[in-house]
Amino acid sequence: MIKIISFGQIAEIIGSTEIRLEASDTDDLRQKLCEKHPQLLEKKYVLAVNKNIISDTVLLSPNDEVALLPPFSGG
Amino acid sequence: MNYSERYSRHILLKDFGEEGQLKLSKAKVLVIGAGGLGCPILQYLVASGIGNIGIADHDVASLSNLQRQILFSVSDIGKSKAIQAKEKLLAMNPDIKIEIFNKKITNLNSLKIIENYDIIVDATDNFKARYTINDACVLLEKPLVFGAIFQYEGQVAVFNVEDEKGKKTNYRHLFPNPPTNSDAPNCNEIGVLGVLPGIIGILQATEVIKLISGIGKPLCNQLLIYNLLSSESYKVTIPSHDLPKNLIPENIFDFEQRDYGQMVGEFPEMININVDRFKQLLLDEEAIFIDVREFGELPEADFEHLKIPLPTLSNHFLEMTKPKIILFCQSGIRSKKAYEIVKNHFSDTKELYNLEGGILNLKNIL
Repeated sequence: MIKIISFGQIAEIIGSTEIRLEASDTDDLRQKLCEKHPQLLEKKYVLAVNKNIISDTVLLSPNDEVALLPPFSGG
Repeated sequence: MNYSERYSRHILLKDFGEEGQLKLSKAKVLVIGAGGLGCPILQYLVASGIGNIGIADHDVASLSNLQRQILFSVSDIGKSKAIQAKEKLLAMNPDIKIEIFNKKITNLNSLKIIENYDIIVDATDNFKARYTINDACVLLEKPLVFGAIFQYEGQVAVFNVEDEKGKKTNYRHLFPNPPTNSDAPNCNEIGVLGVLPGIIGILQATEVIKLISGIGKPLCNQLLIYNLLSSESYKVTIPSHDLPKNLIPENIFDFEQRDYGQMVGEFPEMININVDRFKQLLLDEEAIFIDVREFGELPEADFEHLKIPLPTLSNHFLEMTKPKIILFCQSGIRSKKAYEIVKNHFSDTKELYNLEGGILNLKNIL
C-alpha cells in the first residue's frame, strides 16, 4: 500500500489529508486518483515520493509515501 | 540610539554575537507586499536590525486587513500600506533606513527596484506577481525567500541560493507555469486564519536572517509546508534539473516583453487542426503525435505516435522532445484538456496542435 498525503485544495477534493492506495508507479497512482476524483484532472500539483519531488515517472515500492503538492498563492 | 543595548540579546546569543548583528545591519532586504505575510516579516526584520529595508505595496489598508495585518491600526484604514508601515516601523526602530515603493511590482519596474537589494522576500498574494518576481530574481541572481498560504497551510522556500553541493533552484523548478487564477484563490475568496500568515511570515523572516548571518541551514532546494491544524510540517526536496529553454526570460528585453497577465489568466489560445493539416504534419520530421486515450481504445492509430493517457500526461513532458506536438483522442474532447496541460508546461517553447474531432475524424485516411 502507498501512503498518500495531500495538501491544499487537493486534500479538499480527495476528502482527506491521508489515504492509502495500491499503485505500481506514479503514473498508475495519478490515474487511480483521477478515476476516483475526476476533479483532480483540472488541478495542478506536483508529486513528492518519500519527500523528494519527482520530475518524471517513478516506480513505487510498498510503504512508499507520496505527497500531492498544489501551488499556493495567498499572502 | 544605543546599538549594543538594543541588540544585546542577539549579541549574547551563542554563534550569533556581534558579528551576526553587524551582518544584519549591513544587509539590504526588499519585502514585496505589506499584507498578511509582509507585516510580520517587516516587523521582525526591522526589530532584528536589518539596516536597509524596502517596502513595496500599492494598496491601502482596510478593516478586514486588521484581522491579520498586524502592523496597521484603525487609524490607518484608507491610507497607503507602504507609507503607514514605514511610519510604524521607524517608530519601533529609527536607525533603519526604509525606502518605500507605493506601486505594483511588474516586469516593467521590478528589475530597477530589485537590483539595489541583497535579498528579496515574496510576500505577495497572486501568481502574476510571484512569477514576475521569481523571473526577475533569476535574471539578477538575487536570493528570493518565498512564502505563500492557503486556508490553514503555508509554504516556505529559499530560491536562487546554492546549497552545499552548489545546486540551486527557483520557483519554476517547483511549478514551471502558473495555474489559471481559478486554481488557487486568495484570502478574499476563501478566508484565512489570522495567525497563519503570521507563522509563515515569521518563518520567512527567519530564513532571511539565516541567509544574512550564516547561522543554521536555509531552505535551499527545499519546500516546507506547515499545517497549523495538525501543527505538522512537511519538508520536501526540489530537484535542480535543467529547465526548458526560454521558460524563464534570458535577458532584460525578453523579460519586459513577456505578458505575465496572460500567463496566469487567459485561456490558452488553442490551435485546432483539420485532417488536411494533420496529413501535412504526418510528414514533418519535427512533429510528434500523442494519443491521450486510455490504453486499448480503438481504432488504433496507424502512424507513429506516443500513447500517454490524459491523467498521466504531466509525468511525461520529458518525452515530448520535438518542437511540434499534435495531441489527439477519440473525438477531440480529451485532447483539448491535454492541450491545456501541455501548453501550461511548455508555454511558447513548443508548437502545439489539437486534432479537431479526434481520431474518428481521421478514419478516412487511415
